[in-house]
Amino acid sequence: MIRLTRTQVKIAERILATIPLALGVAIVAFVFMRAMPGDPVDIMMGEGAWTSEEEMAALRDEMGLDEPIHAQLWAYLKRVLAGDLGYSMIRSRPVAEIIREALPATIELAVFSLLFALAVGIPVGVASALKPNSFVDRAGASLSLLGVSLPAFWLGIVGVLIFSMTLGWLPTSGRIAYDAQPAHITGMVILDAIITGNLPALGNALKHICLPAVTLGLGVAAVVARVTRSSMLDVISADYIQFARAKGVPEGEVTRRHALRNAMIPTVTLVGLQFGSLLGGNMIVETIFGWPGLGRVVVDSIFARDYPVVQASVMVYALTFVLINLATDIIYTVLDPKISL
Amino acid sequence: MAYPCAKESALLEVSGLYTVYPSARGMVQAVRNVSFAVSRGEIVGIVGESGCGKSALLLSIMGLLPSPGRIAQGQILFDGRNLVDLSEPAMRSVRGKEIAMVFQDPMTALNPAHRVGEQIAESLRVHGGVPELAAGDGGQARGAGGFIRRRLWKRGLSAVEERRYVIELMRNVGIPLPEHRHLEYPHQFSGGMQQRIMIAIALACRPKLLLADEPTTALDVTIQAQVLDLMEEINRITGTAIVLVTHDLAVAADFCDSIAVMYAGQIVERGPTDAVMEDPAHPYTRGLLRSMPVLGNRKPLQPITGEVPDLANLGPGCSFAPRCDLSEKVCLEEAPSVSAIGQGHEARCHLR
Repeated sequence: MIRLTRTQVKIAERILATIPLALGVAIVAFVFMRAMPGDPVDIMMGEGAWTSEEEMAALRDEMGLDEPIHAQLWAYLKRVLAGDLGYSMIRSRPVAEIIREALPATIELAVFSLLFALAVGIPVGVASALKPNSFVDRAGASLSLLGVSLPAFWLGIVGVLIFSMTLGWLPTSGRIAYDAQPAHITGMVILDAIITGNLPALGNALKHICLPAVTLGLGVAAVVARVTRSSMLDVISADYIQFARAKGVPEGEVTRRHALRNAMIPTVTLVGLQFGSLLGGNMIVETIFGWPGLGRVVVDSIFARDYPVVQASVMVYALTFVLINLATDIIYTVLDPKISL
Repeated sequence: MAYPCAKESALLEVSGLYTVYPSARGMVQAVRNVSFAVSRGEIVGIVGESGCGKSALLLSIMGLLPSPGRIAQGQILFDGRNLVDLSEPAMRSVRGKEIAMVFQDPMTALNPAHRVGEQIAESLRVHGGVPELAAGDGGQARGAGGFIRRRLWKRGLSAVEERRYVIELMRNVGIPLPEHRHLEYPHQFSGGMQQRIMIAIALACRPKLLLADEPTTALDVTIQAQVLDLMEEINRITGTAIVLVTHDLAVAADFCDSIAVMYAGQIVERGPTDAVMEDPAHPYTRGLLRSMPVLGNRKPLQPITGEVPDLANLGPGCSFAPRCDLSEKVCLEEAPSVSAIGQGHEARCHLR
């Protein structure tokens, strides 16, 4: 018998609680997809197609689309519970395989966007709070406004125009050059390149991820900077900061050890929410940069009414949100001892 | 216990101190021409109502005036050095080590994110280890955790030694079960216990001077006396001089060897506690005494009428004159100078 601490039990509970949630999401996704006009057969054959009604009916029969909706739903739920996500109607491949291929690319992009956002947002926020109304503060405020206002499709295209077309520093699209691929381990090429020590692949992949990650992360960086600034301003006027100074703690350490840790709580909340949307909301960026991630798969599948793929992707999105929320809550307990799970 | 104003052994000597805050309304003169001395081992009370410049005075001594406040004039001699002239790094080695400070509200002055033991130990680390402690079993911390902690934080002090000292400090300030409680967080302690922890932090480096800014104001009345007793005991045992800032004249009378009464940024009366309490020379001091409730006395209290003057816009005369029932023409026209009342007892009043 394994002994678990209270926290571990809570974490296990939260993970188990995602199962009914996943089923709920599956039902909603199923119903909404069916509510959309047209079905895969219509889309595949196109309008005014040459295909006869009999052939289309045969195809529907083959895909199980002629059954009543509730029967389809029931069959679908039974398969999902058995761990079978089904078969893509358009791509003729198992859905699980499609997701397994696309998800690592999306995660990789989201992680790098987030790293970029944190690496820029937190220092700018802290510097702005330490010297309010200074040049850094004003510049940070202006750039943040720009960062949230510029839409990703514009930013991405301008980035390509400048850095790829004009300067020729970065590739226009794709994830890695075809001949530079590292051995497949996790599916995340940068991680694989690091694991295998394949430096040329690493360099190539990093070059490819730069523009999409910055495009996706700039808006997040802007919000992180603003939130960090305001929570930092709250914290540095707190008594315990003055008390730390009265203890003779050097100013740099006051900022790092005493202020930043307390100021990070709102930032963590924000980052949790943003990371979810970085994972789930990057269809535009993936399309612009030809990034072979889940976002593109979902967009393509919605247009093609590829029901099983969309349903499974929505479930994946929902689960990642739940897991990120759990991770956020765990980080809270580390930052603020008053909070427990 | 009392060390009556023996100039030659003064630990802290503030003279002619002016502290100002530039503001949109003009220069706010938070501290005006304040002079007082604290002898080694003495307890000095600074009494006054909110906004009279008590806290600005303490922060001036600590060199922690929040911007844009600054010391405009005067000197603060501490152990032979003028703190006003010290560089920031030099001042930092005085702060917490030679002069420590206890804040008003322990609930907000302790960092909620760090264990209390860690917060006590931080003072030690900042100032390079346990003071005057025989180097015995140093370097005995075992295991990776101890090793990492030593690498990261320690400067000439082993983790074991440090923990032992922290626990001893906590026991000395009267915290039960310090062996366990040093791992707890501030929110797990009551207000009185939190204040004891703050005192432990302040005492960690055995400072020569302890500045206490209303250390009991945020506490329940029953706890106030305990904390004051603790501070008195510390003063008796370690000889740490204490400057107690309070708005409570009764507390100061009980606790201090000498008292300075502040009004509108100035010390209006100072002297040995007995002299000030028995023969208050300044009308403001008398007003404070009259507005103090006395148990068993059924006569209504007599509050001081009027309001504290605007420190950004002071008139030429005595700043208390508008509220003083004895004020004469000269009081409104001319600022009074200090006049001696008795042995070490002086007041800033035209009428004496």
